[in-house]
Amino acid sequence: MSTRREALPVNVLTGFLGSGKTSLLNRWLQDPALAGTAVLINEFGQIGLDHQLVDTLDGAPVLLANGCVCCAIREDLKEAILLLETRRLAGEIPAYRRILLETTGIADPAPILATLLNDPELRHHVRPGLVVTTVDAVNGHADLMARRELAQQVAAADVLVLTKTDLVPSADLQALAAALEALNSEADMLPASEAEATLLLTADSRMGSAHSRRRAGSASPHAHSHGTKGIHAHELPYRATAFFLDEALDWTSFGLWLSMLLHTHGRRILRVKGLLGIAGTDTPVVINGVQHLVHPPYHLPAWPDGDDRSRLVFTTDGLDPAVIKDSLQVFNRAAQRLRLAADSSP
Amino acid sequence: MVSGLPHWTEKAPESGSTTETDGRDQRLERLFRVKLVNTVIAGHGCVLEDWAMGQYIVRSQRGRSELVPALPQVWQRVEDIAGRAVDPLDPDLLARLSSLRA
Repeated sequence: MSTRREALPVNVLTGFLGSGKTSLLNRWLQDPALAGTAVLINEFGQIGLDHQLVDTLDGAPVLLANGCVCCAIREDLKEAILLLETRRLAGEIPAYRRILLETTGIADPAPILATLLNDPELRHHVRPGLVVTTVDAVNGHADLMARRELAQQVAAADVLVLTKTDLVPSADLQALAAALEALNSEADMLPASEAEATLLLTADSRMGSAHSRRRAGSASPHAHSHGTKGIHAHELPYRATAFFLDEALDWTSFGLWLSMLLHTHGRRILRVKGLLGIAGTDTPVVINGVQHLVHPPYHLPAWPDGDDRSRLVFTTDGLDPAVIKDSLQVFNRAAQRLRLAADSSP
Repeated sequence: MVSGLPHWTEKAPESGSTTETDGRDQRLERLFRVKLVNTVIAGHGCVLEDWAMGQYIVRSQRGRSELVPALPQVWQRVEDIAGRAVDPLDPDLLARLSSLRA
C-alpha cells in the first residue's frame, strides 16, 4: 500500500438495539451526497441481511464477523478497513472518501475509536470521524436507566439522532432530550427526520470536523436541564458537568493529571471534552476523550467566543466536578512552583 | 511510545502553525514530566527515571525496575508497587502538592 493520501474519516453509526440505526442508514444510503462512502456493517442484527442497500453504494460491502465490534472483533475492524484499502488499490472497488461503520446495538464506541487512533497501521489510512448515536424516543428512557452501553454511546456521540419521535408526547420527548443533554451537553441533537446524510460530510476535513470544533467551542458550564415528565436528568446514573478555569494550564502537568485521572477513575468517566488555554500559547487546545481514550489534542486557530478561559465538560457517574476542578488546579499550581524552583536554583 | 505511536501526553498538541516545540524543548519537558511524576508518587515506594528519552524506568525501593512506554503504564506500575491506586483526587495527595514551595 504505497499510495499516500490523507487519512480518511471513519464515521460511526451506533445506537441501542431497536433504536433505528438500520432505518437511518438505509435512508442515508439513498442520498447521492454520500457517494464515495464505503460502508462497514455487522452481521449481527438485521443490517447484515441488507446487502442490496450497501451494494448500491460501493458494490462491495465488507461484513464484519459476527458479534460485537468493540470487544470481540476489534482486530476484525482493522482487517476490514485494510481489506477495503487493498481492494481499492487493486481497483476492485471505486475510490472512496470516507467510511461509515454501523455498530451493533450493544457496542461501546470507545474501543472502536481506540482502534482507529492507536493502531499504527490503520492510522496511516483512517482517523475517527463523527460518532452518530440513535436514541429511540419510545424506549430511550428505560434503556438509559438500565443499560450502560447506551450511556456510553450517548456520551461518545457528536450527534444524537432521536428516532420514533412521532410516537411519544412532546413532554416526554422534552424530558428525554433533557436527560440526553445531561449526559452529553456537547452533542448536536436532532430528530431522525432532520438527520440528513450530509451531516457526515462535516467530518471530511482534517484535524477534527468543523462540527466538533464548533461544539468544542460551545462547551458550556451550564450543562443542566430539567425534564418535565418521564425520565428526569437527576435520575440518571451519569451526567455532564462543566467548569471554567481562569488560569493558563501547564500542558505537561495537564497531560500527567488527566492520564492519571483516567487511569484511576476512567470507568466512571464516560466523556471529557473541552478547550484549554495553555501557558505560552495564544490559541486554545481541544481536548476530546471517551472513557480511557483521548483523541490527539490539537490547537484551534482562535478562541471561538472571545472568552479565553479554559473550560472542561466531564460526563461521570457521580464524581464531584468541584473536586475534579480543584485537583486540576492543585496539579497546575504544583507544576508552576516546580518550574519556578528549577528556574531559581543555581 | 505505545504500539509504535507516541502517547498524547508525550508531545505538544497538533498545531496548524509553525510553532512546534523543538527537540531541546521536548527533552526538557520530558525531564520536567519525570520530576513532576516523582513529586506526585512520593510515598508510593518507587521513583521514575527517563530512559533514553524514549521510555521510562519505574524503580521500586526494593530494587526492581521495569521499563514502561508512557504515563498510563507508569500509573499502573506505581499502583502495582504501592498496592494502592494513584488517585489525583486523593485529599492527602492534593494537600501535599498544595504545600509545595517554589
